[in-house]
Amino acid sequence: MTAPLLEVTDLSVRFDTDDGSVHAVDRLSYTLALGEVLGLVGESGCGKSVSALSLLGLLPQTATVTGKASFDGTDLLEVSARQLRRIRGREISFVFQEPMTSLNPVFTVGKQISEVLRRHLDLSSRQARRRTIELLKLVRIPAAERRVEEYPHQLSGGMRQRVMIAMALACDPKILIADEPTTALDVTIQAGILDLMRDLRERLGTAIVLITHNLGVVADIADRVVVMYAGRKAEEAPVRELFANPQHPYTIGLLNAIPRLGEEGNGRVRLQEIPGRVPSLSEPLDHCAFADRCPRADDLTRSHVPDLERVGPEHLVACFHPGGEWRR
Amino acid sequence: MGGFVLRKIGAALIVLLIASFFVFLGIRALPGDPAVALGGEDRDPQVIAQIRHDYGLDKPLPVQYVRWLGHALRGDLGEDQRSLSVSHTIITKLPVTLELAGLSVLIAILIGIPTGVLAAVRRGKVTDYVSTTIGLIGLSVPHFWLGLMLITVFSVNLHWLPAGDYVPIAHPLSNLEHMILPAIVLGTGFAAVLMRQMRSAMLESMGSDYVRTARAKGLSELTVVGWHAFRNSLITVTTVIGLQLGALISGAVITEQIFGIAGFGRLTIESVQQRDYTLIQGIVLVAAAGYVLVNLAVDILYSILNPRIRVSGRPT
Amino acid sequence: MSYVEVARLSPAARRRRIMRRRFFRRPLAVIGLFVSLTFVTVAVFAPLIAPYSYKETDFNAILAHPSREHLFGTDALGHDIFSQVVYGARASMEAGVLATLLALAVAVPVGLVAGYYRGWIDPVIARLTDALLAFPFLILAVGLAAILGPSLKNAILALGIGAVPQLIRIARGEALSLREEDYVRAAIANGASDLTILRRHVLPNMMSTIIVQATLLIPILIIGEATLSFLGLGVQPPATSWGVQLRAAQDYLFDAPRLAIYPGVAIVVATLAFNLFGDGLRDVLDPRTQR
Repeated sequence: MTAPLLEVTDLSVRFDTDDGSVHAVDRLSYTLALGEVLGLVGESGCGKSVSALSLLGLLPQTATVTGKASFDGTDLLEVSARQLRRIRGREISFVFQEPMTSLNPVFTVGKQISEVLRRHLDLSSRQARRRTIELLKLVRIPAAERRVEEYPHQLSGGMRQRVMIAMALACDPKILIADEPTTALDVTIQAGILDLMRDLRERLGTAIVLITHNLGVVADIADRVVVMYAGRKAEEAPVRELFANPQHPYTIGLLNAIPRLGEEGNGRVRLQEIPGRVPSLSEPLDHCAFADRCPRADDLTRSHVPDLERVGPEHLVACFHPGGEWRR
Repeated sequence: MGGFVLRKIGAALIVLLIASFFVFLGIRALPGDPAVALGGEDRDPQVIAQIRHDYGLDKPLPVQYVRWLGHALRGDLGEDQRSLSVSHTIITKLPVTLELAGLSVLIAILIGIPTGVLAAVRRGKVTDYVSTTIGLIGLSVPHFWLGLMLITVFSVNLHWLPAGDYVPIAHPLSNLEHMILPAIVLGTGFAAVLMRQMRSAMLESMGSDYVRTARAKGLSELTVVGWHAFRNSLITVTTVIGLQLGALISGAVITEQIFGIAGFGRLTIESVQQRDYTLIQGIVLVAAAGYVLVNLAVDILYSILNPRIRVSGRPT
Repeated sequence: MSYVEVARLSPAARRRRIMRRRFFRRPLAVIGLFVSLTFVTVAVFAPLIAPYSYKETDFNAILAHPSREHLFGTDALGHDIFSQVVYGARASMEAGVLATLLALAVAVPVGLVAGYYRGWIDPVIARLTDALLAFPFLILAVGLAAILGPSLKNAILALGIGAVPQLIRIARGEALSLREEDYVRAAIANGASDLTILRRHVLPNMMSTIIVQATLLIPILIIGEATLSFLGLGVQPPATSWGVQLRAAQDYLFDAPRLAIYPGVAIVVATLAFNLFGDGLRDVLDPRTQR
């Protein structure tokens, strides 16, 4: 088996603020293979975005990152600032959640894309412009030649996100990290973006880490899924396996919470929510993070941290009472 | 952008009109009979009646206002106590103050903007604290005291620079010698404000999402800060500059007084001390008009810098 | 306090705790607060602190250097400079604080009405305010002082009025944005009277911004009073203020610069203190500024 493209080991992130510490990520580990699409799933605040940002050193000063993130032989967390800048945008790219605020309002869209090309590939301004137009066409933006000169506020939300994707793919990176790329968009636009990503992945062979809270998106495009809760990995499995055979009560809860049309019976089934809220983490918990909301909680889960255990080929769960039925 | 500029011009005109009305009222609000005040020493009732007629003081207030405004728009601001044309007096003194203001703004920009950027970039470190504190001190020092102190140090003790007067610009070196201290005095307060505004604007833009994107693209820190962040901060700071220019004019008043520079500012004080109301009226009107025009220019500059307005004509 | 006890406090009390804690973590702001309070105390208790009355002259000791009897020396008329500075604090503090209060009393209601009610009254107030803002602050104050006549009271009036337009703009801005807040709209939808809404929802939320602005206005008005007095338009001798002292010091810059240094430093320190305090307050009260 070939070495993974990215190997994250025991990644932990702690924020130190005026009002105390927050342990956003607690010993997260996963791998990403060449050309693979990994879905990183969890509620808001579970640490999935933070963990991804930490890989490229994009967290604020108040964050302390420990662990190892091995990319192509180098540890991203130990690398020098200069090397990190060479990796960003070139080997590993990031697509952010909010396309409106993530694009600089005072520069044209074309300039912002050309910038990356000129920085990493040393293209002349004319070459860069040509390639920029190609990229805009690649992400299916109509009238690309005209759009190049426009400013972010002149484009719609969906188009802005496409521009972000074009910017991220400009230098043909090995990994694309997409942080909730469709969350800020209308549902109808979302499908288009996902379509685009799937298409690009096939054409370019880029590995993608797709961060989302939406399991539907994951089912659409991911190869493997990592479910996170309160900064820890709760479950990991290939996508079909996860949907067919979820083990962690949280995963089951998430799947149950997906609203469905046309249920058997009278068609009026109550939305199942998971009671309770994500704990705020001023200290890493010494017990199962999900215990407060878990229907299977008992003394054991309230006093010990469950380790990751293998429950199937490539299927891991961190739970003392895995398994069970879920309503399909 | 055209629409934006037109709207701003319209607003400026309205403001000027109302301001002129305030000026007009202000002088009329003074106790006593204006005709008597204008007459000066002469108390002869016939002379006063003549003055009243000449100046149209016997007509109703709105008519007087329109008449006064009409004259003003034609450049006639009346005559002061010494029967000199007010407009002429102002026009001769204005360039001096403009030069002083220009130098001060230059100094303020050269000092304030880089320091503000530096303080933001090195936030929390020694450079930041030092700059911020010096900036605060700069804000807290009254112009006239700073002027007095600088005179004491540089003129009295060190004999490096002259203590006052003004040499016309025909002799550039000497002119500069005389202007440098007052320009520093005026520029300090402005520089302090600029520095603080620049710093806070930079902090805000450096913490923004688009700067994070720029970093994620692998751009050098210099590009990220100096280009992406700075360009946005400049927009925010421009709006502040306009507001500060009013303070600059205020500062010029005292600075000229201390350094013995016969400019517009000192004219203001003299007119107040001599209770020369026609002159005061003209001065305040010109000051207000100047301020409004400068702000208009700043607004236009802002619309050029901010693509959201330049391209679509509406903010956001 | 333990977690449990903190949790039992009302939300308002808890917020105050957090703000207090954040404030005291900023050394500069705390210094500003204490120095400001010191100046206020000195101003209030001036007769008790100053060794000499400000009117007291000693013609045997003119322009004397600092000595044990005269801490800062004496001026051209034999006044003890230290006492002068102490008494000068009174006029300056009075001017700074009273003028600020005056400006607040006028500007906050006007701004509130303009921003909240909008309608026809808002554009009118907005235009009038803009027109007033067209006059540079000092020129406005000087003009007003000229009309009213020179005295401390008139200086306070002039300064207060001069500060009104800017404050109106701020108050109006706050009221305008608060009006769009969901809880205000909910209150309107529930049929609450305007007065109640203003009193319960709008005003309290404006308070923090207004307080910060007021604290930052005080040093501006202190300098304003000093300036007016320096120009002869404010406090009149034999009453004294720092500005008056600086005016008199001008003639003696060559021989005895200390006449200008002491009152000047007093102004700088007092202003700096209020500025630091106000800055710290703003950092703490404004949720938007990050540390």
